[in-house]
Amino acid sequence: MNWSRWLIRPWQRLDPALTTGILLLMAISLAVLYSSSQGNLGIVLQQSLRFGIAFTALLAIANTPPERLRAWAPFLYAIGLVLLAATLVAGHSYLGARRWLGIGPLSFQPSELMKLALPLFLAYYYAQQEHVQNWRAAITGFFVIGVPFLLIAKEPDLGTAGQIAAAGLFTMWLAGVRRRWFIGLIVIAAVSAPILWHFLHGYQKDRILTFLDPQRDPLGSGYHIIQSMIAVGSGGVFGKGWFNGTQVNLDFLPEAQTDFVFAGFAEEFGLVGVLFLIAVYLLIVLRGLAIAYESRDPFGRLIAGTLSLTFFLYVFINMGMTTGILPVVGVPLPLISYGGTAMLTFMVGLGILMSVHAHPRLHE
Amino acid sequence: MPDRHPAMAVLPAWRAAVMMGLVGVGLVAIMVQAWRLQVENAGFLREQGAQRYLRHLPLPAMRGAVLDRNGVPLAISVPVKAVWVDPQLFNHQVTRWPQLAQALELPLPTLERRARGGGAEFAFIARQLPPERAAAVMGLHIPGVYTLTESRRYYPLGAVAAPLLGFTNVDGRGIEGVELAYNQWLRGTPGKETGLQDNRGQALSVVQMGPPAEQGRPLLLSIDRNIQYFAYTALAAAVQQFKAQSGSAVVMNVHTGEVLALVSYPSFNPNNRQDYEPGLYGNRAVADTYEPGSVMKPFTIAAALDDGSIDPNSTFDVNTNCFRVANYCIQDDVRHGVLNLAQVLKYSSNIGAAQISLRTPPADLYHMLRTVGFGQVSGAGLPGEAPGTVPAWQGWSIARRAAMAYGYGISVTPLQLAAAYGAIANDGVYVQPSLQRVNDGTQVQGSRVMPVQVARDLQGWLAGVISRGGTGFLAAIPGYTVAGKTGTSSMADGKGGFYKNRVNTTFVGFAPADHPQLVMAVVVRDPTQGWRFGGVVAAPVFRVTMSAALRLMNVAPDMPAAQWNAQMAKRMTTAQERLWAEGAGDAAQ
Repeated sequence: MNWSRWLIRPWQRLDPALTTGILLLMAISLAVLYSSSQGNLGIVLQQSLRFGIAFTALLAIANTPPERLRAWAPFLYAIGLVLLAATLVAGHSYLGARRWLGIGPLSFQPSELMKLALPLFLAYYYAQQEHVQNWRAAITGFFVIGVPFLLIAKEPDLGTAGQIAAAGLFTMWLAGVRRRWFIGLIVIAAVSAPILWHFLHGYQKDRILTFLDPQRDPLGSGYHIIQSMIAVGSGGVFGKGWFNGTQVNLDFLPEAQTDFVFAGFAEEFGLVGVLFLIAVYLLIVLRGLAIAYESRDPFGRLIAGTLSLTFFLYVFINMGMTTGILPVVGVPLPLISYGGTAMLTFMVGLGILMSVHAHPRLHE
Repeated sequence: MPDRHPAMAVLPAWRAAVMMGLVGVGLVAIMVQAWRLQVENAGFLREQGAQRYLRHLPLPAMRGAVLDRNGVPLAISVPVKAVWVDPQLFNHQVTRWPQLAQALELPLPTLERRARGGGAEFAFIARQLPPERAAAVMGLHIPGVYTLTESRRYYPLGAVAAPLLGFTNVDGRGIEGVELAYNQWLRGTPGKETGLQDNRGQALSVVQMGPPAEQGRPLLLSIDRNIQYFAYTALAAAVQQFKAQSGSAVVMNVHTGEVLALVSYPSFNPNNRQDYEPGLYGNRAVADTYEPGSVMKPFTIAAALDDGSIDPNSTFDVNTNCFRVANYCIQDDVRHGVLNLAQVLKYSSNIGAAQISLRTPPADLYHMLRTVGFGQVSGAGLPGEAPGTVPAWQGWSIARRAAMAYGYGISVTPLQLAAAYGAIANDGVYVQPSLQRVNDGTQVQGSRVMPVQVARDLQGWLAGVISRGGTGFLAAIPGYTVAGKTGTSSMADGKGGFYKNRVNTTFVGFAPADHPQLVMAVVVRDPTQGWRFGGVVAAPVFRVTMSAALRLMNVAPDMPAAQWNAQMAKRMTTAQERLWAEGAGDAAQ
């Protein structure tokens, strides 16, 4: 039946566990945004629309066989590099950083594309590599990571550059690059840290110092983290209840709908809500890792494993900075923070996981 | 080959373990931190949060109005705004300080000083602003800048009642005059409320009401605004005309003790006290004591009549240029012959008064002076009231006894003079002066200080002072009979002696003379120009004020116009007629 091909089969590619997690996060997101915007239905509708668009993208990717994704990988990576270079030359400057590239009326961050393009390209590379354990495989990997890393770090957006590098390193680790390279990298990073310190921008140094001691400048760079910790702590075990979060609703919490949405959630729903949210994220991450484990295809395994770990990394960084155990870097809480670009990236990533799961390797 | 494609094979267990270990560490870290924040430190953080979103607002209590006896406001509070800053936020807004300074019309250094000079969380920048100005400031939306409501005191009568009413400080507390004396009554009690505020300090809603503000109570004074006004303008005119140092006057109801006017000059603008100087602008009618001179003679006579030392028909031979007492020579301005009591008062004979005093036991004179209120505060309830001094009679020398007779060696206030003359006018019953209105029909308790007949005799003799040849003729009021006494006393030089050429001038009188209703004391200190006598300087102030006050208090005229005109011809000597026509007077007899 022709109609089943368009109406039923696409939905069959959806992984039930992942879909459940996504829908739960979507519901939490809308509830939190409704409260933190003090009942602004417009924001909720806009976020719903973004969910719809992003979910459609997920559906499309889930129905795209991994082989095709693999075939796109080099091109996506190449396009990503070109756009990053273009951003440095012709991007919009916002708050002293060139991170946005305008195409017609739209503007977007090419680094967002690179978050997926880099792991795809590395998975593509290692999946066809015969001798993963030799030095050439390692050096190539570092080079593939290094070029976009430097381009993004130059914007400057050290946080995103670090996240992209982490995603690439996950792929290399899963691919089997020898551990001495990782140990070497850690040693070099530790040794060169004091030297790199001098190359950091003032605000970057500030963030790190503030992380070490938020009271250093409680109304300046320390303000976010102090207000955020107060909001989280005010929630207590059971939370203040939906719409009762004073820190959020009275505007004390900055970025309450974007990067610090977790603090508002924690204030209103308490430790119980936090543990529930962590459980939902864990469901997604563990299901993603299971998909990687089950995959018989090197490319599928690498990309699924990498995306799952990266997804967890974002959750960890966001919750960590909100609760004060990590410095403040601008990372949204996956699928909950208000905003379209990041949501699209996460949904596409989850779509790739579903695609890997839904297309067991038949040939070869 | 086993290493040909590791990804094809199962991921080595240790690699998976490292990955899962990192995930596990991350999860544990987040959960431990969530536990620390939400369980261990939840109380502290909740408290910190409350500090940010709860605000405790004082509910201002409006200070009660001060009203005159007819309910006309003499002092009222209007709501105004104060602008304050939270330096913790405001100090981060240095670039916007000039904007705020401009909106407040403050020099920038002043604003800086105030912003840094306050507390760690609170500093006043500007106070007593009109609400529109404060609204404009808040329209700038500068973080850390807030307003609160306070009240501003406004005095509709301005300088006319300023020394009497006093004023409040910027916090609304009375610090002078009536404002100080009745502060407890007027001030009210501020209330409290707790509300939610957002990050810009804007109040959102009230979550908890504390005690409500208790508004201050209105204070109904005995003062009559119009009499106060007439007294002030007449006094000011006299002080200016005679280039005097200062003056004060008191108008009182003789039956109730109600003070209808209490004025001092120079005065100050209570609505803008930029050039206020405490020493210069005190309430002289109660705070200044001086040696009153001849206005004390009626009390010498009252004491002597009361204890039988003299009788109403006694006469005194004053036909001398120098009545010698101890080493002193007591003189009259003009040499008279033999005078009866009426004439002693009419011509203000010092020799006659001294002779009376020397016949009277000093204890009796002392007792009379004390019972009519000298040497103690009146109890009218004004701050800064001076008791004056009446030295104990045991220490009186012969010379002192003689001098006391005509008002030297004793110091009094204008309010005490008015109250003491009030006792004569009230048929011998002393009534304590009161600044609060006495309800109509209330019988005010007084104390008898002299027999009715003595008081009546004095009323008649004092009326004679205002007649032809009397020293007080310039106090005469068309349509009313008037009684009173002049006083012109040398100013003490503060070194035990007297200035040769400097005097204090006094007139104390009441009207109508036959059935007195109002008494008034006028003191003008150190006039330096023209005829410097009580009858010339102070008496006209009495005439102008009293003639208005009698009509305002609905006291019926007791002398038909025809009779007034007929008597005026007889009243005045030729010299007096000339001065009357000139509007001033030569009372030097």
